Amino acid sequence: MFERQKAKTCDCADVHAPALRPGPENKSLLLLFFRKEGLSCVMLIEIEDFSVRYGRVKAVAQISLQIARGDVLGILGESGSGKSTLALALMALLPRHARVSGRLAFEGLDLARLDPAGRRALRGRKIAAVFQDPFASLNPVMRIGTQLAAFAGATREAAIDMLQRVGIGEPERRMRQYPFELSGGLRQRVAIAAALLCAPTVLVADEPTTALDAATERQILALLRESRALVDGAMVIVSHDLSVLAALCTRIAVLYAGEVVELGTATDLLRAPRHPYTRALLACDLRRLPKSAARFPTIAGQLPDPALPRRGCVFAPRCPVRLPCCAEQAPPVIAAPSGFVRCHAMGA
Amino acid sequence: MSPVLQIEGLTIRYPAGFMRPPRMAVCGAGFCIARGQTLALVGGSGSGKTTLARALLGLVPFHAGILRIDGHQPKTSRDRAWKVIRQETGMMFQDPVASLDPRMTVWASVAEPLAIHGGPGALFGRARWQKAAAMLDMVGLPRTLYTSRPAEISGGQARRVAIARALVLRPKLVIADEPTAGLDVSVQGDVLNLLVDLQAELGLAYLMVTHDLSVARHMADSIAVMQGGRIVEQGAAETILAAPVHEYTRSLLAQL
Repeated sequence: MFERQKAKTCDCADVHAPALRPGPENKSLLLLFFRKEGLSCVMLIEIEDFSVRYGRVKAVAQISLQIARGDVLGILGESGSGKSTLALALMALLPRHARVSGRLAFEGLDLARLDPAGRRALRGRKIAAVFQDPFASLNPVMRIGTQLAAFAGATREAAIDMLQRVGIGEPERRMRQYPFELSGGLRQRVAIAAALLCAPTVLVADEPTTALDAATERQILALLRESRALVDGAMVIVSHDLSVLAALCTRIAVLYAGEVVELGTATDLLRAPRHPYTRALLACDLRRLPKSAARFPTIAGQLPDPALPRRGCVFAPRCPVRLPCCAEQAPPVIAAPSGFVRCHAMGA
Repeated sequence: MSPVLQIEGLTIRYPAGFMRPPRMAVCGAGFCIARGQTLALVGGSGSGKTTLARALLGLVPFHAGILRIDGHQPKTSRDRAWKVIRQETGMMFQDPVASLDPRMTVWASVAEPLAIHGGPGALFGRARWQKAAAMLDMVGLPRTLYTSRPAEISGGQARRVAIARALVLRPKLVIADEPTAGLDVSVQGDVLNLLVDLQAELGLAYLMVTHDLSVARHMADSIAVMQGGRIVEQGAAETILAAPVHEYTRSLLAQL
């Protein structure tokens, strides 16, 4: 398995992606899954060697991930990591000029190669989305009730019931109001209600709490955690904030420059991060910084230019534990207790 | 030594608007900041902290109370004292990209305050551009970006330009509205380190408006906590962090 993965990452020109076999990093998950769900071991979403380019810019590079039913996958990344592109791909919302290679299969359907009509049939039915800015994602000239009926095709009773379930008081009155009359937290609740009304198989939330203040953020996180019971499938939460993901997710994938550098359970990542980038990110969290620290920690250097061809490890120029081989060879995929890490230093 | 900034009983009221009753945005706020000190104004969204910060420059009129910056005390919204206050006070707005003119190069943006506030002894031409370049150099912006426009640079770089623009007149007081908002975790440390270095170098007093107590914990000498337009608790940073009295402060601390 390692050999295969290694060969694959080194040889980017490999067009014929080998069929998905349960490797060591999947196997532990599969076992977990068997225990939880019985025998139906079909992955809900299979991402295999998936890349997205915008012109010369490579936004997502050779990502392979599996998302099972019942999973809550967190995608952690800073700006420029490709996390939003990946989220758009999962929502079947990639813009037309995006060039896609590899496979992103949702229940066996390749999302990236679906025709527009096929995509429309999925969005708002099987796939629901919650965006960062609830003011931009709600229609400003439609009453809340009208939008819920129009987007989610819900009856008035179902909409009122759902508004109540997401913790909105006086739902009848809210149904008659316009988005501008609601606070940011309430608007995000409405957006989540709209997403849940579709009874989706996958709920993708792109930075669901970034636009909110700390107290509202906690409420929305609690709401999303409760929503897990209402989504008969998987949830994908995209964020730059590890604490947001840690509060919600079963597994977290750390994205850097379009590649998944580490995958693991939230507890493993927080307690024992393995990739140097994950470790550096955790060190930058001011909440974990001891009071005595004289300087604020940072990660020196910059993201690599996404338009340049890649060689070796993407994080190598900024890496504190860089080895001589890092600049030359793509890092191997090394199995970790709950996922994998892509790093030369971990294999040595 | 008299404080750089002193406010007492500052009250700001937003008038009634369409379908909206009048609203007390800030109610009887009072604090002072000494030279070289940092006060963090902490509160949730809608607590009035940004309104208060804007009022200090006369960007929002206040209805009652006393405001004194470096000995200048404006009485009306048209008072000449405002011009001096705006020279003595640098402002970093919440969104650096939106606060810069999209059609101006960042170099021109930093040179602009020198032209506006230069007065009779204004710096002309070359000297002004050189001074702006020195300031951009001080905040660590690469030379190749001097002639870029705000949309062409990253959030962290735009933040540096905003800092340069706020500091180019060598103010005594700098108001930083959410200085780390919208920055990646790996970049926010850079910006905070820069603010700390500049404070030591230029003897600046900071008013940092933030919703993040973890920033306040590391930078502030004193903390004022706002809720619903009122300052509900204020004092030395150590005291407040060690023994918060007000319920709201405790709930903020619980998130750390």
